[in-house]
Amino acid sequence: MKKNWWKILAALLLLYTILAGFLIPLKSGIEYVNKDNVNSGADFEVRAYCYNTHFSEVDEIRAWLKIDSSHIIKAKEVKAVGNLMADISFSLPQFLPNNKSHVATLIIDNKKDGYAILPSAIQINQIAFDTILPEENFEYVSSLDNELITINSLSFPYRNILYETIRNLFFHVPLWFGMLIIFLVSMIYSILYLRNKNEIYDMKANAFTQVGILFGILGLVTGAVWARWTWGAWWSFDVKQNMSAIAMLIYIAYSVLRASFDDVEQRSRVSAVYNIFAFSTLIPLLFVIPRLYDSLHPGNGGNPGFGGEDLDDTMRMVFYPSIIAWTLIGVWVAQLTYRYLILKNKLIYNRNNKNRHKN
Amino acid sequence: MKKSILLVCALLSTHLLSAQESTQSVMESSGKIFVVLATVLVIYAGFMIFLTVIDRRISNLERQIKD
Repeated sequence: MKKNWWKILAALLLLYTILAGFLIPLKSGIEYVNKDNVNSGADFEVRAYCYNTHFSEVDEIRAWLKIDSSHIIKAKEVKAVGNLMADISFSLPQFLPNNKSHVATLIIDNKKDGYAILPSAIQINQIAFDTILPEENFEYVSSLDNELITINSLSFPYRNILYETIRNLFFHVPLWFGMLIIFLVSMIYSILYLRNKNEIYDMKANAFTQVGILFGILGLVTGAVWARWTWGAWWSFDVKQNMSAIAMLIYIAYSVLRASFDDVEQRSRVSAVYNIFAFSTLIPLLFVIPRLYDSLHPGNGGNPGFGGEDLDDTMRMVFYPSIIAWTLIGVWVAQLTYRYLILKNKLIYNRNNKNRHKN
Repeated sequence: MKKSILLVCALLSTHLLSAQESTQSVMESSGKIFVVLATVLVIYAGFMIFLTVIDRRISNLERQIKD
């Protein structure tokens, strides 16, 4: 029992990941608005379609249009239409800052849901006026700092397109982190084999590689599922997808290579060298090449990784334990595999010995 | 036994194919939470298959030890 504490830890952490990953609610957010173009100097009403909001349960909903950091227009009136919709009316100044058209951000908040932001929500066009009002004293709100209501309960960030699938961060991403650690361990065993020529190291490297391939294939499939309903296709030939598929093929070739040798020592030696080569191609394939090209995948080609507001403290609270959990589960399965391999090896060894005695 | 399983699979797959549009709407509903469920099920299936393979190998080994 004492020796297996990390297996219990793995099971508990995985349970925590699944429970917290599914049960912590998402923050509220604005999905879209029904107007994207308005003219300066006009009064207009826009309907905001929101996610996870409880408008009919609160007394007051506030809303702003943010033109830039020091020019913010407060809504005249916000009417709740059910829980998820709000009709917001604004009146715009005749002349916008710098006399230019602007793209404004919509911000809504209330006491129950906290605040929600829709960047680039509405384009406000500066139009020419025949009659210019003599004196326009439009009142902007100069800053929203300390003004917006934030809620302190545990919640994951809301992102358009992603919605609840942001939770996949605890299931898809740790598979790749775990795979990397498992392949690293496998490579270390291969190096140890080359130094000591102990068959057990080779078997351990083999087992860890098998589990790494399992993790990688699951990572590819879960990524394809996630991509189908966020990027729009199972496989969009994105550079990250292609390169990780190539990395998997290189590792599958390791298994094929092993199967093609009859001589045990030769098999162990060649596959250990190949394993070191495979790991050294893994790093550029997964972390260098995708960064050099345009990619849909977060963290690549001008596309920021999950960071800042995407990976907030609540996300980290589940994300880091999930990496440990999946890695430990992988090590556990790898251990079962190499224990099997070692037993099989012993059986073959004993049988060969017996045969020799008979002869 | 095998035939009946195949039959059920075939029926299910044609049903799924004809219901592809409703699959789409299910996956997009409730904030796409079913995408997360599908992801978890994929991982579950992957681990189950891997464990079954190891299980079968160990059974093989046990049979060899008996012989």
